[in-house]
Amino acid sequence: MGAYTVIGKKTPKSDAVAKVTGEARYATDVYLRGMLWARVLRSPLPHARIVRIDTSKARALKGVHAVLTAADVPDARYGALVLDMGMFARGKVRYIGEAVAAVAAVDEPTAARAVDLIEVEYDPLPAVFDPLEALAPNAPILHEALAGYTTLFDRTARAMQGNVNYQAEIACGDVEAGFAASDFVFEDTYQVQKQHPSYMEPNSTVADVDAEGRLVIYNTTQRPHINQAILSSLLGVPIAKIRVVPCHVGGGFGGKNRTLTEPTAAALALKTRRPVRLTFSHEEEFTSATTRHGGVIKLKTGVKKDGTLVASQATLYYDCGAYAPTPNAVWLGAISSTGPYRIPNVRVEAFSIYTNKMMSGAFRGYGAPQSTFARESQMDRIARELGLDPFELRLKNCLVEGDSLHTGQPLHSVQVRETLLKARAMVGWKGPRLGPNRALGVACGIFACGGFATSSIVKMNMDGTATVATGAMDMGQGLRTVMRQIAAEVLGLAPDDVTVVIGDTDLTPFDVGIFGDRGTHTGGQAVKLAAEDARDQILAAAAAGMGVPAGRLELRERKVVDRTAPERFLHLRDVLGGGQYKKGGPIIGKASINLTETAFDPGIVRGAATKMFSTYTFATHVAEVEVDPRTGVTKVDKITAVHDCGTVINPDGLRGQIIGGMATGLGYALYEDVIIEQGQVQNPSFLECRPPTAVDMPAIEFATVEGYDAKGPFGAKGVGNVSVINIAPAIANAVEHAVGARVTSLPVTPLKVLQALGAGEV
Amino acid sequence: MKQVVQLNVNDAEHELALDPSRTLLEVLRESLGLTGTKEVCLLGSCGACTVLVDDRPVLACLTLASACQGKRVLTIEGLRQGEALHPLQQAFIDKGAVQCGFCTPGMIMAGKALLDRNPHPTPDEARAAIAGNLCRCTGYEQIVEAIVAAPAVDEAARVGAREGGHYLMPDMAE
Ligand code: FES
Ligand code: FES
Repeated sequence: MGAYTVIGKKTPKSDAVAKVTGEARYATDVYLRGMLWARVLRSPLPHARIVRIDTSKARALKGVHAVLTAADVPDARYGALVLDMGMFARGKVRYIGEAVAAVAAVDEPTAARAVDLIEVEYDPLPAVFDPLEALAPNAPILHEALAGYTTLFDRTARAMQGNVNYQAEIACGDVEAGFAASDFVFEDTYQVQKQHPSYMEPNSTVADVDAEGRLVIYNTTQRPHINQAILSSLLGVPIAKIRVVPCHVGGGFGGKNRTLTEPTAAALALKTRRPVRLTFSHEEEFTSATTRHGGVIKLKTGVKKDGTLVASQATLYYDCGAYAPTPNAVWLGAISSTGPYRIPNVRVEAFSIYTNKMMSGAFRGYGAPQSTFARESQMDRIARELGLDPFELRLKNCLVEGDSLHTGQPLHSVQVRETLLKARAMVGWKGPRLGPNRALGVACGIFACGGFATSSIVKMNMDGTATVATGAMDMGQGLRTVMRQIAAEVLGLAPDDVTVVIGDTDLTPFDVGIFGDRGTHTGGQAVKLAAEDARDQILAAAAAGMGVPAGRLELRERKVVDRTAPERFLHLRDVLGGGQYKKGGPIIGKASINLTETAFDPGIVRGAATKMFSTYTFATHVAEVEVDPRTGVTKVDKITAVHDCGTVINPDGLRGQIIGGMATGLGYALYEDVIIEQGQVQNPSFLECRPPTAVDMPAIEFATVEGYDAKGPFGAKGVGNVSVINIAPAIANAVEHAVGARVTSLPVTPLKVLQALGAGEV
Repeated sequence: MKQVVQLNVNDAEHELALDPSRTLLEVLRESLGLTGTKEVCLLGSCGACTVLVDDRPVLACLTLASACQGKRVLTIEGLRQGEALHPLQQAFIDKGAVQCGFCTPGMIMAGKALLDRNPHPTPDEARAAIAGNLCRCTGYEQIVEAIVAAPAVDEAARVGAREGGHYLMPDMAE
């Protein structure tokens, strides 16, 4: 669509020089004069009443400036949808690794020693570690006061009862009639593990109190404005007296859509009136941050002999751990549980359940890798048992433009069919089997993209350059550069003429946080609208000066040009210089949008946390594997990906998202697993829970299909999440085609493959 | 008891009184303010702290500062010559090999060590050279390409220098 000068062109990241020279400043690189170091005392028990805390010895230690427990901070709770978590455990602890107390001292060793001197007496309580056991009537209850907690969603009858902190339902058509009308009904149960986001940079905050008594937070976050609001509510400090200054983010992937180190560091800074730094140790990352939700998915699908999908019933039990920072992962799971398929009769029940384990939160793919694994594994089973080709079954049922999702949401920009066709052509598909122990596996997925509130300001400078301010954070994926390209395209500038100010809550307008493929799509759209607002003002100002109607003018190459007579133009710097000093005043464009405005039909959807997402992204992946039937080891030789992501804004950025997502999906498929026994994480480090390395990566081929999303900037959609969700089922499907082993739980370990070879399903 | 250690870091001599247990990583970041070298796992498992000691890649988190006495330490900050980026740095930018950038200093140092002993590596050799460096963002493909492409960038820089110019980053390709 359209001939663009900047959109779709190779544009290096604006922060790349700072990053290749080591000059980029991350939160852990902030050292302030007089800075104190904080450490946190964490619970050694999965569930226990706190009988007594004695901090006197810690306070008496030389070099200790403050010790805080729940008794020293306001009794306030926070969370994205369920306000269930305080800064410190209050009354009882609910998982191993929960914060009980914190110390600020002159250096880290002193702080660590002081933490050891805090005495806590616990009275152990029965604990529950399995989400299905946690649903049992006699299960230990984690949050006795749950029903009284503040929530930000419509509660169904079963939400906020027992250990269920969030529940959503989808009912479309008549699922019982659908099963009755089906020729075959397939029922399977799938199990998924907790996966750690494994961003390289640890969670870290330096909190300072400035000369005016304002709190200043240097941190690593995907959501500075929400951090600011949470700090305000937890500490009782007005928002205007808090400044969050996010540093470069050393990877987030959803894991930094959290508020973990900020409140403790801030409370200690307020107490000591000194800068305080709190950085998670590597082990704390694996015990006290958040992971992808593990859980159980039950899937029942009714199908006609010819492969037409008729009915689907899915029940999702997602294990959110001891608190529910983002329980609606299961809602995204519910959306993706039908796959990108047209199924007339659907029923979904989605539960987020407390257990005495480390928390689950957002992580790339957010709720969808789990249900996509279930859906796409079962699709292959259906194909096999009906004697259909896996691609044919998917092509027969896939959504097309004009269809509605099972939630009742009408869809636009649906190119899922095109992704299937292109992927099939790219791999030269002649069926899944390639040879002895070698095969291809396909998976196809849908992910919700974009929405929620954001805003942007575009300030035109006198020399014709522009400064864009947005609260939408760049977590390393390159959003800053995408914003720069979008503004440059609208304003007829080169990317270098645009500076993007990102995140700092004093300088940027509100954004809710970067998640759910909303950075480019939603954040980018706000930048585009703000730039267009500025453009219209520029054209109006120039029209007066040029004696030409504004409608005939356009911006290009730093000029305002008469479209009908290109030799008539004004330099932007002259318009803006004049504009600043003559009339009308300086030009500032702005936009404030919310792309999540349409409510669901309550007859179809109940308990949802949000209104409809802006749009959906689709992708098809094909994995080529070789399995050694003696050892059970799966080697992935190649992954082919085809994405429907609308207009491509930054080709290198797109490529990085697609391949990076594959790597995360590969780890999820084959080995990453946060193993927890009796509440204790068994493998809390990269040594034991290792993300894929360069030598683990398969050969890669990818393509996009042409598409245009009317709600996104220049037609763009996101790609960061959908790039992950298909990898595990594509690999699991390929493993079955290769050696006949169907593994229904992730990760697909050699042991499970061997067990499946010996004993059917595992 | 502190110990006096002479360290040559990025061609500058430092004399430091150090606790003998201080790691090279702590000294670089906290005593010398060279925060380009990153701290992640402190277990030798991620490679983010990779620096060169006498041209060989070492993990600064597992290396005692005192063990570097009399040796040449090169960190990411020492790679750039004035305004001009090292060809490998330039290649990382050109190939889109940088996302969050937290692994980047370690990756570049590991890549440089490879290029110093093998100026024209194959993609597999590049992969093997960074096998100890984790990156969660990129999936490594563009990093491998950058390492393989660096010699060509170097050549372009030398041609540029011969012609009297100097190689600067293109602010906007194409
Ligand atoms: S910090 Fe040294 S290897 Fe991870
Ligand atoms: S670029 Fe983020 S970890 Fe490598």
